[in-house]
Amino acid sequence: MDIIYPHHSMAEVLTENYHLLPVINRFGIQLGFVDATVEEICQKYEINTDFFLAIINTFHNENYFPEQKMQEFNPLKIVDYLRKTHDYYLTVIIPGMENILEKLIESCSLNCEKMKPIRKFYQKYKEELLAHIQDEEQNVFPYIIDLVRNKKISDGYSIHTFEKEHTNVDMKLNDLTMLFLKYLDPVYDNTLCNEFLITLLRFEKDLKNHARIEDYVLVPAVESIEKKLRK
Amino acid sequence: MIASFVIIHPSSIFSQGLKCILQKISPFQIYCFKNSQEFKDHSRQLKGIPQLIFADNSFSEILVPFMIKHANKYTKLIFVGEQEVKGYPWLSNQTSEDQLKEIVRNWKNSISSSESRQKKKLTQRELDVLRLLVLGYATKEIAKSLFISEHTVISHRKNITKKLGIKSLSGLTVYAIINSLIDTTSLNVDDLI
Repeated sequence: MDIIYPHHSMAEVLTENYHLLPVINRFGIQLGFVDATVEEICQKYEINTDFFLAIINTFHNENYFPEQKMQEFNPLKIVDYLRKTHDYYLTVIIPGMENILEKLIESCSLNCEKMKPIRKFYQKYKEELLAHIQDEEQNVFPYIIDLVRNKKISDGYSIHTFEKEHTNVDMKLNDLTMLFLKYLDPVYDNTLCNEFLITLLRFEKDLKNHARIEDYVLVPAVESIEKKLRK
Repeated sequence: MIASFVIIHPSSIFSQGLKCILQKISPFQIYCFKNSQEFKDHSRQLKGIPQLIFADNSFSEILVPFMIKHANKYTKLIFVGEQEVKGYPWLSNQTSEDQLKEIVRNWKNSISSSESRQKKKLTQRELDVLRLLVLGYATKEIAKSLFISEHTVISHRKNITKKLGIKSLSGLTVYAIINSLIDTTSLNVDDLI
């Protein structure tokens, strides 16, 4: 399936694309669907089906842009979703990745000097990622919440004042993969390294889609409110 | 090879038809946009990817200057419609499927030959720049100490990144350390990364 529709069976959707598993968790959806469709599950959990589809399709299909329906979505719902994503990164992905990386570095028995810079590189990356997340939590999201609740816009401010590019955060993850694939001597345990790289690549994919949701779902929804308020 | 087709046309019947044909020719991603604005809005996503763009000639006034400013050298713009746009290849009602295949093949050849022509090994000069870069010198200082222009330093940096596949300065630093390009005995490596 290129695009996921309301009538699709939830179980089939997840068989087709397991990357969506953490995404549906962020909506609070639990497994055990029997034959329920996407729409039925959304109703059960009181989630707006269009919004749910816009998010999972943005993840599922890189060509998908949910433009028409964008203005209808409540930015607060999107912020809520994005906050859950951040929380998932902070409590699940990052500790998990770190744990494997430490094991991987420890698995090295000979000539381990060259593994050390990798640890530092990772730490540096983590600092940047955390700063980016913090910036969104402390500056971008409060701006949006204030805009929606108080329906007031300050002169000279817009969503673009706050929302920064994601390229830097993506870039370092890719560099880390490259260092392993191309340049590091294989002085470590292979299974652990595979596990680390798979986690890394999955996270990279999740982050990219997270950024796409911000750029193509959140920003346009906020822009449309800003436009109305400026009139 | 990563590349994509882009179709910018107001008629979805046209876009879908062309998409079907292109799908048969090459397994690249195909992006369809209704107008030039939609394309511009999404162009950041396509940055750096070679693109073969088919655009309705009504968008030529907007697209020509936009592409001159933003396109990479593997991006090719082809106009579609009854009238030709000067200086650009053109697809009309008379164009056959074979001719289209030929256009795609030529474009693919131009990308892959220039990709394979690039030598991956760093030149001596690039190594010099890389060393100074990871030791924390600014572009201006590197230019001064190697007697080259700042512009040249920047272009060396671009080539280094392209050859190694590593973009961030910290990543390049790790590369330099693990390949012993810099003497780390007297340095605290962690401060550099």
